[in-house]
Amino acid sequence: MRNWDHSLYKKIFSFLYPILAVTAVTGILWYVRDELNIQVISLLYLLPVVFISRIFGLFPAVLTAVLSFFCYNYFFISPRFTLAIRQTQDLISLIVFLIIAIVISQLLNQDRQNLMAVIEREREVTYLYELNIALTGLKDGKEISQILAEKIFATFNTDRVEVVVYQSPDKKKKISTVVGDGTPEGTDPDLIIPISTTRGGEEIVRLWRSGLPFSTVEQQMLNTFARQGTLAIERAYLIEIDNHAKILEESDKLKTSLLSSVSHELRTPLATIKAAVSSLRSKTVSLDDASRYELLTAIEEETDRLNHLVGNLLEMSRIESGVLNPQRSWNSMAEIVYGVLKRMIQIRQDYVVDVEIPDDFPYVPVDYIQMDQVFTNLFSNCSKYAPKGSKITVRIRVWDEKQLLIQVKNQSPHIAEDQLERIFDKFYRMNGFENVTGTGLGLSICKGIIEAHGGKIWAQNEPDGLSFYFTVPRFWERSEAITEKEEI
Amino acid sequence: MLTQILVVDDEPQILRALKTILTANQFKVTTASTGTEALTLAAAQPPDVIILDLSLPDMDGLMVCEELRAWTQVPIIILSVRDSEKEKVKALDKGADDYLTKPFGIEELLARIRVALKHASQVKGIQQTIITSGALVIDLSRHLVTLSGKEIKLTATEFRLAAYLASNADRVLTHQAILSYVWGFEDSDHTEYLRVFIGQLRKKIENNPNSPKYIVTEPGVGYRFITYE
Repeated sequence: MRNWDHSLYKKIFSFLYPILAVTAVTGILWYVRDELNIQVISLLYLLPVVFISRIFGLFPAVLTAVLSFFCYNYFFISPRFTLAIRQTQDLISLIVFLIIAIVISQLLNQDRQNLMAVIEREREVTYLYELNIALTGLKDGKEISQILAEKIFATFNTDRVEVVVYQSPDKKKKISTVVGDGTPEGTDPDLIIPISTTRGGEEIVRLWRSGLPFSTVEQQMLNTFARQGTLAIERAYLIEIDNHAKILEESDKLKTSLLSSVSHELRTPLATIKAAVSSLRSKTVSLDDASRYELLTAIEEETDRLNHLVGNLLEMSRIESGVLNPQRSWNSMAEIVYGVLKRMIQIRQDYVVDVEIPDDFPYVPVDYIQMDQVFTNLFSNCSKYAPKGSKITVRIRVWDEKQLLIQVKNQSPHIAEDQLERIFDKFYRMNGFENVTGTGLGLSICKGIIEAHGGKIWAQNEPDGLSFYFTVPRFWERSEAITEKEEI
Repeated sequence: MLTQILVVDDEPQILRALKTILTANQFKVTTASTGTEALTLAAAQPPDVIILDLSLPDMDGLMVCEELRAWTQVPIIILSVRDSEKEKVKALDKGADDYLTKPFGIEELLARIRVALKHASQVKGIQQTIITSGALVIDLSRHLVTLSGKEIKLTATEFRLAAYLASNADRVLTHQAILSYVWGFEDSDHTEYLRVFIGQLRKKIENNPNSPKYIVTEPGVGYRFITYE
């Protein structure tokens, strides 16, 4: 309604002002009529015509001219107080006055319209510039629709704007952004502007505005806005497609490194097994009991290694696809650590393992199997890099009121500071250790598991070796820590 | 008479290996490569033990297990590549006696077969009342537990727990099975209680409760009472 009132007032004033102006000029001229000759008076009557024309446009100016014409005739051309004219020169003067007044009105009006068009264009350019600036760098449909809706709302004086676009190029998810609440839900929009991307689709801007309908200029401008929106969306889509391609490329690289790493890791034990078995079966090779036992042991160890590798690959794919949900229950860390050590006979034989866990250490909400795997991988990592006969220490303590800190320390060589984080990356193998077997999966699995538990894992050089630290939460949402009870 | 084992697996190489190994260990072996064949064979020549794979071409191994349990108590040992704890618990709750994942060591399989046979004969015959494992002796009728001849004081619940584990010596018992036998809980929401009681029991009977010898944890599945000579 605001617009409507404003425009009506303007119209009324545009006709009121000529009357006021002519009255005022007539009054003043009347007052000084004896000092001025008739030509000067006609000149002075042109003044209101010029001003009104400048401010209110053609029709008020013509009105002013006509009013001035009558007043000039009535009050100043003799005989006064009549519209009759006696002298020919007065008639000519009057007619010339009217012609000049109207010509001036027209000229000035044209000028005024040109100026207004320039101002309007400048405004459009400014709005578009602002819109473009705001749209620059936006990467998804949601942000773009938000900005587009806000800008249209601010620029076009609407009650409500709704912008509907797709979130991403795959068109799976539509996003609707609404700005303004001037119109109740369910009302039909007053104007619909399509956003036509090259992909086709139902992307659209809906506008609601009571009062003034949208002018042609406004509609053109809205179309331009929509086009800018289209461009921004296209750009965002292209970026996304590009990113997607990059991700695919990355995953391709990863697959290649997985394949080369896995095929090496699979073939090595297979080669051992094949060689051992074929010599055991061979009739030409005669083996004593000790050698046969040696070969059989090798076969058994290599099959275990293959099995461990398959387990790691499965675990990794579970972590990758995000289905690694820890089945938490209250477990004793000591039990897990000792369980792993009991199974890893080789570790117990080759290293001095020292477990420092207080007897009354509280139960911890972790997935037994996954934690078992973390320790298994950490110990197996120790066995690859730490010299035989050295010490492995496991320490567990309460870190703060929310977390436990677990340390697995060994006497392996230091790792360059810049590699301390990278060793947890998938398939990452340290330079200079090419002869150490492994897929580079163990530590990244540990990381995946610990993070799924809500903890952190990191490595740290120590004066006499290397430590892996990880934290696990002491509590989880489902229940409070349990304490030992005698009977229930 | 030789003990008869029915091996059910769809992998011919596994059948071949198991048949050779088990025959060499003085068992009589029949094989089946589908669930239907297994069910027919089990009815025609009732075996003493069934070794069952879970992934069969015609039906799931769990179904075979369920159908068998409808009419026979023959020991069933699951031998599968599926290694998730859920899968194990499901199979055990459906009536399987034990669960072994592939790849497996043959010693382990033979040990499980022996345990299953022993348990089956106990179910048929008279229940053993005194269970001995190394230095640990559990006397079920006198409610007495001794370790190296010294009496161990157990609460009533601890004894019920120890007795249940020991009378199923060397067999894996799921959390659910223990909870429902010892406490009567019909859901598995109380595994924490069980853990606490196992912890207490271990403190009393194990030399190193952190690295238990008698009551070992089957991660994510349950517990197993181990007997020693």
